[in-house]
Amino acid sequence: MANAFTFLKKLVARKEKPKPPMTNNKQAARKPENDDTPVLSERLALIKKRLGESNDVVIREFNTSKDQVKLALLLIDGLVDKKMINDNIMLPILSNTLANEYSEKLTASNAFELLNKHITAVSELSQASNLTQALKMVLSGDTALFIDGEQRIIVFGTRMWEKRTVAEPVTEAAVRGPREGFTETMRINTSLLRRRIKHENLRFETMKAGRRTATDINLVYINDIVNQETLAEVRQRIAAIDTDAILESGYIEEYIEDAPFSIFPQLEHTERVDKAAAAILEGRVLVMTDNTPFMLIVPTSFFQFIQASEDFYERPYVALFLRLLRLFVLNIALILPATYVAVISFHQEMLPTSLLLNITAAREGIPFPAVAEALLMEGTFEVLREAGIRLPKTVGQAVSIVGGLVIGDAAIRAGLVSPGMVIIVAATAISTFAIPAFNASVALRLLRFPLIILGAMMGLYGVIFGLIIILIHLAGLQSFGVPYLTPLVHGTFRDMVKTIVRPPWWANIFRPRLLDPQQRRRQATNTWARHTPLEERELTHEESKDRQPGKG
Amino acid sequence: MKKQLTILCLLLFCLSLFTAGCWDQIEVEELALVRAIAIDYQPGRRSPYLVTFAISLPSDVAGGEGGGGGGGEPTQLFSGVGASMDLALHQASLNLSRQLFLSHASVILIGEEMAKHGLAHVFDFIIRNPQVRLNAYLLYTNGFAQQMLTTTERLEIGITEEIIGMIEQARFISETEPLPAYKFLQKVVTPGQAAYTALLQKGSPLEEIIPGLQGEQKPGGQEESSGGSDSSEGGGGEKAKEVLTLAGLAAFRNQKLAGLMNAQETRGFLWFLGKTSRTYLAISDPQKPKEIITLHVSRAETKIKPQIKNGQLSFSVEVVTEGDIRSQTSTTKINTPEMMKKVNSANAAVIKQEMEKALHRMQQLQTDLVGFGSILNRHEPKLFSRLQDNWPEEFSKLKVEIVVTSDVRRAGMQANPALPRGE
Amino acid sequence: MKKAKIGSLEKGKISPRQGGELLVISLLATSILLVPAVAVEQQGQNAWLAVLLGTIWGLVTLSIVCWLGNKHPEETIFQYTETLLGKWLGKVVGLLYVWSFLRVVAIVIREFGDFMTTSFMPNTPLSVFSLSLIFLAAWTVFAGLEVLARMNEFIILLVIGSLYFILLLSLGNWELGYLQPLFRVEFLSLLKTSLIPEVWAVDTITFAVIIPFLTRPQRALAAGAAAAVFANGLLAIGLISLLATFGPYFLLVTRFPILMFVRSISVAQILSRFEVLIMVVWVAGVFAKTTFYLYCACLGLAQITGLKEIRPVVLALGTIAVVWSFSLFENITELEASVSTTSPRVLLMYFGIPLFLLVLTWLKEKLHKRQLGRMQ
Repeated sequence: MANAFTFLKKLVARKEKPKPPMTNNKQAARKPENDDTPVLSERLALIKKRLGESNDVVIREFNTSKDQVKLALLLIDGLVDKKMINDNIMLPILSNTLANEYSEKLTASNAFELLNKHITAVSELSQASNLTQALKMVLSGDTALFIDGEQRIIVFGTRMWEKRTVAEPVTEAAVRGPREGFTETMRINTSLLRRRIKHENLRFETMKAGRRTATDINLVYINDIVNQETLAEVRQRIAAIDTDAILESGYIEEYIEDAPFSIFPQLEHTERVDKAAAAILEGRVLVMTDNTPFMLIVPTSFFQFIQASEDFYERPYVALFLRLLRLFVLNIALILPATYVAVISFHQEMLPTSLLLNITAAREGIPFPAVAEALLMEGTFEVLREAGIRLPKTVGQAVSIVGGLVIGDAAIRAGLVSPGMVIIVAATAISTFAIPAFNASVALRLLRFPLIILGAMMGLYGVIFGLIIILIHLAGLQSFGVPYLTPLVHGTFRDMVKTIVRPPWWANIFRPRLLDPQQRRRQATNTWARHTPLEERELTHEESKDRQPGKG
Repeated sequence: MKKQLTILCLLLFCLSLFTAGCWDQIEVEELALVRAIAIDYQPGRRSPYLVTFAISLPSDVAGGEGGGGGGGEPTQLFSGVGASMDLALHQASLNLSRQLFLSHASVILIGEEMAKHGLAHVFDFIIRNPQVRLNAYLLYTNGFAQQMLTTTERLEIGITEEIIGMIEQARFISETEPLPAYKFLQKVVTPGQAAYTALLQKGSPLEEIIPGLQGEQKPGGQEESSGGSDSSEGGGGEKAKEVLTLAGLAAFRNQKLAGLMNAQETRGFLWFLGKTSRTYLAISDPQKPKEIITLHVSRAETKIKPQIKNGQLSFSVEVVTEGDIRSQTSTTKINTPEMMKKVNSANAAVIKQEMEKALHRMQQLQTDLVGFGSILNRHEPKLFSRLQDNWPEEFSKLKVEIVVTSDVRRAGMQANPALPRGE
Repeated sequence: MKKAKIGSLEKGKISPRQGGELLVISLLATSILLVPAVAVEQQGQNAWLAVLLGTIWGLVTLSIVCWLGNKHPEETIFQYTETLLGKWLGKVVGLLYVWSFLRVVAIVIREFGDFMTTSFMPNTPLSVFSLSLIFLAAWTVFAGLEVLARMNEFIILLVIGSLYFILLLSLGNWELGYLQPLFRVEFLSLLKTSLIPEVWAVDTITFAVIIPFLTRPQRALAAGAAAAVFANGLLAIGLISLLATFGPYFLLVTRFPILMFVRSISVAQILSRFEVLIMVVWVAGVFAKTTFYLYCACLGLAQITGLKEIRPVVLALGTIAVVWSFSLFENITELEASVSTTSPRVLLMYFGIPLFLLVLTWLKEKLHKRQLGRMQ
């Protein structure tokens, strides 16, 4: 207990006064830099000491074609494009046939300049001033070229490794919409986004976190739309992360969210590129983490979890219907079992008589009270679902079928549970699946259990009691300064309507107000009635904010 | 952090508060589901209230679909006596293994003696008790209300379903007007308005009309008839069949029974409310007075207005009705405008006569079922407040002018009587 | 310096609309249950007129309070009483208001408990309802005004939505004849009815506390007036529909007419017994109202005693309110009698003192101007 308490205290301390961001350079600079030396042999010894005998570390020592200078390449096997190193770095330096005037002129003193500017043919090239810096880059897949007697190190961008190809996002399938999902490789991900937003103001801002993993984090936003305060807040919170490892964006999510103890997800994550692009265009910030396809969207409000990207591609009516359905389903998933338990053990008058008679008949002879029955069935179902996920796909289906149908049926026949309860549990389960965001539906699944217990203790009053507690919590939550329940609460009327109604695109003129973007207007008034000759239209509408609609 | 801990402690405290109780929690299978309540009064006794509960047995109802096995009653009757409703209820629950649950009682039957004694206590019970439904139907029965629940000739599985079905059916017949309890009470408390309930009777109506139709006339079935299966097996007209009839009204004056109105008078009364629709009227053929034409009423509208002429209060009642011809017993050709006019005026006369009869009966009983008084109150509150105290007497002397307009719109599919040409 | 004081007690700001919504819920939560019985008893079919008339008194209080708020920017009623009346007298008057807010909390808790035990859970002890309600309220007060306002926005959707739903269901049973004779009332008795605290929109006094926390205090009057008119308008519509369905005489028979109303609704034999819906709405509404008043009381006490934080006061006042609610009335009839009569205390608190403060402010200003004139 005491431990837990100090831990909590520390957490709070971290939240309250974020320490000045410690750059990774400083952290790694504990080893005195004067260990480093321009003498190649000593340097190589030093490298061997620091990197150890790992078998993927490759050190290639060689001389220039006329033996003027001793050189060494340092690279990590598997992270580099070997063909490129051979053809564009080693070949020009070593080859006699290709020897040009620069090779001739090469001496120890001008080696750095010549190699840097003239001899090698690599597009991405940088310098490191000391070994530590160079090692960092090498560990990310670059290749370092050491020159005997030269303090500076040339680093070639030669990153290439086995990547998963761009594939359809698994967790967010859609009927209509692009099939591309993010991958684990950041470069591919940035390219996917850049291909969608070809605007000069799209920014990828690099940060790093994790002492040992040195994970790359990109903040993606559009410079003249994003709210600068939100952006600064995100930047500050990510910079304040001081941990040894970041393996997934889930780590970052927990570090930067506002209420670390909340059961509700306060950041939305997505692996759909179109969804990420849409968020950026609304004025949100995308936090892109290396080595995971899941991108975080900041800030997030609760009602984003009932929206799916498909809503924006289908007819508005379809979207309206689906959103209403999801809202309904959200409530079902949260309160249906609790309400059922409350009604059949407290408020029997609410049920139609014939239904009550049927329920009573079905419950005759069942040994448990309704609560126990509900908890038992809900628990069983959670186990089945978990088992279904863990097992291989083919077996998983079998398990769900055997579990759902066979066990359910047998339980009814054995008189353990009543059929009504099975229906309720099944309806609840299906409802949970219909919520687009997995993390939100998990939160609801968890909250269901206390609600069932409250319902069993105090009837519907208990359920309301529980719901009000949840409501107080939700009303107190904020995601980066944006109240969590926006826009239903605290929002403008327009945004409130947009929560449920997806307006036709030509009428969707403004960005959400609560994000407070720098430019609220998204587009000119594009009603179908307006016929402007094509050439008069400008490609971007941001600059023409003051333009009267209809004028041009 | 301190804040969160405090809240946590408080939450635990609150939860423990809840767990201590579950005071009102009860499982469905521990409930005795009352579907109908019959209330009787036995004057002269120390515990005069005899309350009978018709309790549905869930397993039998549900299992009844599979196979009728023993053919047991799906409804069980339990009775209790007491000096008040609550005491009677308490006594009845002594015989029960489950808790009486009144929320699903949709029919409340009032016995004759009960109605004569007055319903004040019954209503006190209904309103005060949070369980009883206010939209349960209130029905008056001749004799013991309890007896109605033992009727075995029925279409539905349970007796309550049978009665509810009849109540729903009553809308299409217009010979009675079943009221939910709250409407009855509303009429009781409104000044210048008397309340009424529908009349539920046992016995075959045909039996009364044609005495010789059935061999033996026995008022059997007075006792709890567990032998329901025999009579249904017998099938034919051997035994006296007992069926429920829902027709006519019981008129109340100040919560006490004033008298009964038969089906025809009731229809006459319903014209005042404009609620007569889907009913059949028989008018005599304008050419052959012994033959009749049957009309079907599809719509009726009534306007009631108080009139004061020379200090004399009277009411004017205007009825506009629409209908169509359904059949005729003669072969008169009625598809001519002149004939239609005649049919219309004959129809209006019939309706007017019916209404006058009903009014006469109401005045005789001194019950203002229509609510002439409350209408007067709305238009002339000062005049009414003078008359209010002895309104029933004033009502019995009231002059009412009735004007009926009949519009027969259609004459059915037949254009001419099916006769050989030239006859 | 005073600004700093406010800032340290309550950092949040709410929009005028949110302030108005708090007022709406405070008005509706209790009145929808209690007013029909009281007003119909006194005014019959014209009860809704009394409600509309009562709105005017509410608006008078509101405009006084808003005027005061504008004259003393960034100050709550507890603070400007001190500047106007001097330190000690000001504190006493301030405490009077704290007492009055807390009394509302106690009464509402009691009403709520009584309602729940009579209508839904007859075997459950009163304390369960009181304690659980005050627990929720205290928690929300802890979280601050902003959370309260945001939560209320959600609750108000629920409350008004379901009220409209019920009204809609009742439309089929309307019989407009019950509303006649129209306007045949004695004005004096109507006036008397309209001064019953529940009918009179006394809750507008709470604006004296929240005006400094509005993002645009100058909009307070508009928002408050809209809220009062909306809430009492809805109440009047509710009354009309009750009257049109049941008539004035039947309403008197029942303790909670709106509940009776819902108990009699039945749609197609399947949808019936909506009472629980009423319960849900009522719980949510009462919770919002209790929280709001508890907040006002706590803020007031903290400001009067010069505390830096509101939190230490919350639990103390919450406990007092619960205990008070138990001892306030012996039984339900006393409770009903107390809410259906108007007392000089009510007139003083909601009309007299604000008016007095207003006059005082005005005189002070005059004096100040004259002094300035003399100095020149």
